[in-house]
Amino acid sequence: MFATRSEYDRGVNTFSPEGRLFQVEYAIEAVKLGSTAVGIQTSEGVILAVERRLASPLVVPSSIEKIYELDYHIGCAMSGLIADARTLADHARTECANHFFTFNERMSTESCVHAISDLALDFSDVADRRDRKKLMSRPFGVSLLVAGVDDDGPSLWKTDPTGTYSKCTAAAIGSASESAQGTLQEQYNKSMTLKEAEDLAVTILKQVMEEKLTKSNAEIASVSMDTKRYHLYTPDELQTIIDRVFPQGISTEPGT
Amino acid sequence: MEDCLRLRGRRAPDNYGYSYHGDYNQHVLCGSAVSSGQEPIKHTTRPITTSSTVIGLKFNGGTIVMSDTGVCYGNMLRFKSCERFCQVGDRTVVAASGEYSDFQYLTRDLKEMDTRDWVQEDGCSREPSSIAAYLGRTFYGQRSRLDPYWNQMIMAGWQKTSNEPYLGYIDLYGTTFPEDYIASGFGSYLAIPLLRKEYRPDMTEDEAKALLQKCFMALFYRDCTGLSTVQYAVATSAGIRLSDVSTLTHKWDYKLWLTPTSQLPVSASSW
Amino acid sequence: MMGEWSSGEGLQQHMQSHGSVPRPVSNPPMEHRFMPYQNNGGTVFAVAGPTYAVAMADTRLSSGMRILSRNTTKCTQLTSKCVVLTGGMQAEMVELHKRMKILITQYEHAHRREPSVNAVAQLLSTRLYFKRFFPYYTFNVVVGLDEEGKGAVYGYDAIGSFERIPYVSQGTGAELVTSVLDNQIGKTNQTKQLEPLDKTDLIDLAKDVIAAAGERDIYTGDYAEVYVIDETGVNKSKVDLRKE
Repeated sequence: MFATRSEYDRGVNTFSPEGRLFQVEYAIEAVKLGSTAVGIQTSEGVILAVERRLASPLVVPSSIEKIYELDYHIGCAMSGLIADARTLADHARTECANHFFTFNERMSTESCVHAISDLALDFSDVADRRDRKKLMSRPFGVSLLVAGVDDDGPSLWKTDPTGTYSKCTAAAIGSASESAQGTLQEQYNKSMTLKEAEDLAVTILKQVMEEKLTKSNAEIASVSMDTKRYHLYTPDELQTIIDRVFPQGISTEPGT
Repeated sequence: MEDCLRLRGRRAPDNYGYSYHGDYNQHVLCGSAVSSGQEPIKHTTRPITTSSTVIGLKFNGGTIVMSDTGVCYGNMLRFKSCERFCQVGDRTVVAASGEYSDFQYLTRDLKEMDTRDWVQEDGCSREPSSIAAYLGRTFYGQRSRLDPYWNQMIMAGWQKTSNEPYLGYIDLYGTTFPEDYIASGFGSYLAIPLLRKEYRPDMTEDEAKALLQKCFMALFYRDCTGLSTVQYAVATSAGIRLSDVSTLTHKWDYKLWLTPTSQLPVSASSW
Repeated sequence: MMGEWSSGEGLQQHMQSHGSVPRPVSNPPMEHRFMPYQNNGGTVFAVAGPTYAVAMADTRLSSGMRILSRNTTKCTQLTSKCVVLTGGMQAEMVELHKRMKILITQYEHAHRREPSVNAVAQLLSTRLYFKRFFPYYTFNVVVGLDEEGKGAVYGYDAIGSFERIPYVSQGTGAELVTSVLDNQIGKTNQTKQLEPLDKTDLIDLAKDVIAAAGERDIYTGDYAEVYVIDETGVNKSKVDLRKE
């Protein structure tokens, strides 16, 4: 007798007869409810951009953070559950700091992504033999776009709740990831400058956002080859880009 | 195992009904006493039941290692026929000087390892260098717990992979190294000069044995805890051969030794 | 050497011999302690060149006044362009070098590349400091080529303080070696300007220096291992020193 989905999607540590882990798949679904994040890698650096969904005009926009600095040279954008993203970011920060402490060199971007993905399936609803409670009792409902600059140059990585990570030239996650991904495929080319990547990221955000794109309802960050540093753009810097891409201003009609 | 590790090499008055040294305080208590009413853990702070010299050397086609059979309490030769060899696997033999109880404990440990190895029935056995590395880590681990195995071990064996003899040294600090000839105990003072003078890597087994006997004769005459009964083990590609105990022929009636010093000219002292 | 403590008998005898009234003294508890440290002697040093580095270590292993071995290494190659050399206690050296090799293998697995000399140097410092309160009785030199291909030499103390320096020496002959290196390489206290040394000169100088240390330091001698690290990798050779 083969079971229906409902019998095998309760436990986090039981495969269905078809070989699926439903809870992990649902976690991927949770990411699809998240706000859209875009990452673009160029030879000059990497751009990360996210939309900031403000539940109410009474929320102070700057308090919603969806791009994190992981180390001087690595940043990440998230989509999904913010608290889960923070847990992963904290872990990544610790790993980066630890690496610097032990080796007196900055952690490579891939190693950092690896460290994050190591946590992805490190959950259990029971304590282990040493009575240590696991960090999580369910999969992390979050995807990350990790951007960094290291000895091998700039790179962009995508992680998901399964712990899989892949290196991308450009990627999008979140609710409008499909349409954003489509635009990226059309518009991305390898010889882009960082400035062009900024423009493309802002263009895509504008496309996919339901609200009008302003300097306060989006976040953008870069990790550039010049400085070899992560940098989160100030609202004014973001406004400069918006003005450059849309000199006529943005109409209030969404998706145009 | 845990219990025997804790009690290794020590006499607790409770176990024997008396304390051998009278003073129980010779043992330093390790940090705070153990809770749950157990005996505090005691550390070895000095050796009690000790044996002296072991000498090993490589010859052409094998390794030979020799020891006498004496074990002492301080300067008293207490036990006169103790074997100080432990064969591990089919081509390694370990000979020990220092605390005899530690050696007996290690013998059991090595034999256990040997049994675990044997039950595999895979026809493989450890290389002498591997056993030396294992003992080296064991000794270092104990010294790092400030509770050393108070021994100097000399290992002889045949390395199967490189097809050559092996001779190695391990001591209570965890010092380990392979060498062509090694002496422990009093032999490290008295036998080494003889070995330096007469050792050749191309010696035959008989020559090597004769050289070792010469060393042990010198030790028997000068080391008050030395014995004339010796035993040796030979490691070759054929495996390990452990000899019977034999007595070295010795001679005390040299004219110089029989004449009272007062009747000798100043220059004629045996010293 | 085995760390036996005096029990204060000397003091009692002293008092009695000076005629003071002998008091009935119950023997105070005697404390015995195992001294877990031992200096096995030996000298190691290294000099950094513009595109190469030279390192040197003798192979004598001593315990007290005895020579235990004439041919025991103090060096371990850690990466394709990095070697660690250690003076002090041999047992600790073996342990430390083994641990370093394990950690470097783990690094290679985790990061899919060999660690730089800089990373190895920091790693060693971290390991040493982790045992700050039961230190490895080791005095280390890390030598290699850095990421720019320049010779790199790092000197340490037993608990992990370290610095990158042009040359350094450690071990029982360190003082003897340092004074020569200060003069010949550091160019201090020169009455006459010395010609700059090329690679061959430097290797020859290093051999002379360890031989000179072997003449004066009883714990240094037998053989010296010579490491020359350059763009071709780690090149090892051996020279004779005096053997008494």
